[in-house]
Amino acid sequence: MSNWGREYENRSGFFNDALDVGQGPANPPRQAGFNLDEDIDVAMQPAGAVAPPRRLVENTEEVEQTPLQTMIRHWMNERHSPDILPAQEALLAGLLDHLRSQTRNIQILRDDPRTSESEHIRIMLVQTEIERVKFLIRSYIRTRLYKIERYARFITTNADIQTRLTASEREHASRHAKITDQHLFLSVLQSLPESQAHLDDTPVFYPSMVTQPDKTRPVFVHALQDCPPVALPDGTRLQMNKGHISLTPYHVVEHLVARGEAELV
Amino acid sequence: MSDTHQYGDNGTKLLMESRRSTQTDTLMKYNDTLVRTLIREQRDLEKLATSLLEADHNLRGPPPPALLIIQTTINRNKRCLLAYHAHRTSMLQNMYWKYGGALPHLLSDPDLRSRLSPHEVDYLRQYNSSLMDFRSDFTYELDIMSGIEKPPTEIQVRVRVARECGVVQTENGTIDFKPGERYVVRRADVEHLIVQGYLEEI
Amino acid sequence: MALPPALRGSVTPQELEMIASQQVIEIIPLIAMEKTAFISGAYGPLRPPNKSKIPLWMAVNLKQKKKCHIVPPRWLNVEFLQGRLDLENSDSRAFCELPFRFAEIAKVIIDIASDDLENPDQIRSLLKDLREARQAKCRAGLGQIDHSELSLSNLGSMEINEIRPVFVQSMNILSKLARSNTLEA
Repeated sequence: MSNWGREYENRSGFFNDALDVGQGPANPPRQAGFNLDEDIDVAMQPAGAVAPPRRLVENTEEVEQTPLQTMIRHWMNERHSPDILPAQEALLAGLLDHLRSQTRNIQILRDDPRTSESEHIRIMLVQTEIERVKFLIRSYIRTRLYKIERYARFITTNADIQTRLTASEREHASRHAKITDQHLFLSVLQSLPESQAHLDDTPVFYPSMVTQPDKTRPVFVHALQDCPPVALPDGTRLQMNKGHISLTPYHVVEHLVARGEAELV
Repeated sequence: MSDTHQYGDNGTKLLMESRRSTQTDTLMKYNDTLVRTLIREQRDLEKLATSLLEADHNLRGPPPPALLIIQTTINRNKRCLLAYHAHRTSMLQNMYWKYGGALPHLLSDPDLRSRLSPHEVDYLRQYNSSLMDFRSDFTYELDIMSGIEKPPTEIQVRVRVARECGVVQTENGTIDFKPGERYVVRRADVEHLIVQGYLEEI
Repeated sequence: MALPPALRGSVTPQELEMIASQQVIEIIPLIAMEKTAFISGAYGPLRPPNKSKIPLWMAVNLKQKKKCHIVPPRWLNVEFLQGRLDLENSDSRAFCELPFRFAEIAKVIIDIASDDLENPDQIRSLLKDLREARQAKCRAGLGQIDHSELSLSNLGSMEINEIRPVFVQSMNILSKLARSNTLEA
């Protein structure tokens, strides 16, 4: 059993390949996970520290984020934001690559008849992680898809939001807008008198016919670092220090989220 | 004709059906009759509006109140018609995703099929087609149709065969699912069968 | 639609648990395992009885197969939580410091490894008291909510998720009212 590890190291690169080719963080990855300790040390400070916002964030910038941690943050930002955020194509591609190589590694290990119990456990853990990461990525993609389909008509006429979509997302939005328009035309509009037969009404007291992101929707924002002051709707300014949590309309903190200075929780 | 209903009643009726559908979480049958009635109403209202405009010689004054009422009704009815259809397509989309994008499975259900208008069936097919295009962008390993409600804890799941589903291809080989029997299988291999009701998670 | 209704504009407790399970925790392994490169990072080797640090989800997996014991985080014990509860009760407005995902992590560990905890029942009870004290402050905060901003520092991720529907809706409505006021003015 003692030499076994070496064999696999050479053959499947199961050990440190991922790190060597720079897929892991620059620092030894062990650091990335030790934030529970960091949490604890801060929390153990004496009483009287009730007022200042705590800095019990999972991953501060002193410790570099792994791609997976970054992906989780983008996933949550996307879920909570009323707007569509910039697509993380490179990050996603990197993770999908990593998934593929882990899957290959498993297949090599599984085909080996010498597999012991502890090896089975290792395989099971790697498989479980693969399923976790796939779940996360799926959820991220579908969160975006949900918004893309809702705002499809808006997207086709708004260049700004288009820059935040991948090419296939843009194409899907365009197809979806067409399908929807066509359906309404065939089912309703083509039978109506000409003056009523269009989808560009702007009546008073009715919501617009084109659904677009509502940036006034309140979000819970968490400052990942000391942030520059932001203008609040009531005219005052808010200075969020690292760890601060606020509930406020999305447009107030939109730029902070875009710059990675804050996240949505 | 002792019709005491007011303008907009039919529009409201249509919306009430949408509301009922949501509340019971069931797609009601496409109300072709009511839709046609409303469309007829729209044409009649349009004729009425036009004749009012032609009869109105005071072009510099405010429009006749009747015209305002009619125009408002036209706008509202139109909105109701569009909302009704849009609401239904949104329910159809929900159903589509709930069944993991298994369109043939959805459309082969005679009960559901009977509740859809022909246009809606077309819509589903086109929706599916667009998604198939989108989905092809991702590697075969990442099936975006798979569930996103239950984060994976165990990679295996215990199932009981609720409906005949025959022999299934999995990563580890083939499994011959016999009705009534229990199996321990990889979730990823059988998720679509669970979602479509062939297998029951236990 | 691509997102099931429960997931639109919110997060489920299961998803929060999944995210919290990425955090690293200490275990006493009962089996040996070679150092392995996971997507989250490299973990191991596991050499019983030496303690090791692995992600919580991995620890849960091993624990359920009786292949490890979990070393509770330094905040998951009666003494620390009692101290926090006292602190919480001493201030009627601010929330005391707790790890951001304390609720999720505590739940997972209590669920599958209560035998690795000292006084799990008392821990449960203290967590419940903390939860209630903080919920009461949230309710008071709801009374102060306006159209602009509400500070909720030190609130945990699960707690935020629980108050989300009501708080977001309330601020939304107040926001719309404020906007229509300015329109009229």
